[in-house]
Amino acid sequence: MMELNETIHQPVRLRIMAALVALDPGSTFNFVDLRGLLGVTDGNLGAHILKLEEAGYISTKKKFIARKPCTFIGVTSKGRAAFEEYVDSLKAILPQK
Amino acid sequence: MESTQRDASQALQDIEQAGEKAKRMSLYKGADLIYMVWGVAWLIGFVVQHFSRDFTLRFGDFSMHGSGWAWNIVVPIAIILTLIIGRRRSAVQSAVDKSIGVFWWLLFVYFALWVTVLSPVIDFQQLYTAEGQRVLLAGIILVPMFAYVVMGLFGYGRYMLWLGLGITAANVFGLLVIPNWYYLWMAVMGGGGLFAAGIFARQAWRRA
Repeated sequence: MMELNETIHQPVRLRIMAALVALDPGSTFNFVDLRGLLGVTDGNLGAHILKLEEAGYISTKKKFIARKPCTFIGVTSKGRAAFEEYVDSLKAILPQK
Repeated sequence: MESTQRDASQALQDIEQAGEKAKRMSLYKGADLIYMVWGVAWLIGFVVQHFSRDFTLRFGDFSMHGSGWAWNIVVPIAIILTLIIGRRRSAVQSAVDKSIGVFWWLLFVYFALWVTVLSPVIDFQQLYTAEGQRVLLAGIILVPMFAYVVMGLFGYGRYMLWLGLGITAANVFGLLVIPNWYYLWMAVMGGGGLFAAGIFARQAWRRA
């Protein structure tokens, strides 16, 4: 059985990475909007973001917008490469057409 | 092996869905309200201008056609709201955001330069007449519509291309074919078109 990246191969983290990789390089996603997109709670999203950040796959930046703290999340080049490798692993599992 | 293939297939579907939703949110959230703001601004500006067609501004011995007075109010308000919405409502901060902002400012700078360079051959007295102000407004409208066309061509949503081309066509048609109804025509086609684009964008990013 193909070894899949365990950090990415978790439903919420997989979708976090998919959402971030879909953006243009250098772009970052607002935490609140990412939470809405994924349909998860603050705590749930925060825990998965921490895991991905510890792996070096994403980075977070805090800014103040209209005096409110906002967190923006972006994928790192390491994360992008790991995700592409993960997708290739998934495709390798599927029967070849 | 079968369940692993099923899991892999499901994971790839989840990746595609999450990626599509992220792209839609990136393109449309924030832009939806901005279109609606400018749609309302154009609607008010054009309708007031149509019903102020006989309004004249007088400054001592100098007088000029003043039907466009409402634009001096709605445009600054719309610009301020655009800046606030862009800052507060965008789901994504892109590396090219600043460049896009600079692009828009440069467009209007180039328009002003174009007018300046051509000024020796322009009869500015005409700008004080009803027809001259109609022509000036139609000319100014071409600037943001050109921006929409360019942004639509360069990956900011194909709908921007059609919005830009559509309003451009309506603008030129209204000016040349039905000049007496130009303002009301543009209130509907321009203001209505922008507002409809806002509704389209809102539904696009909210789509599950």
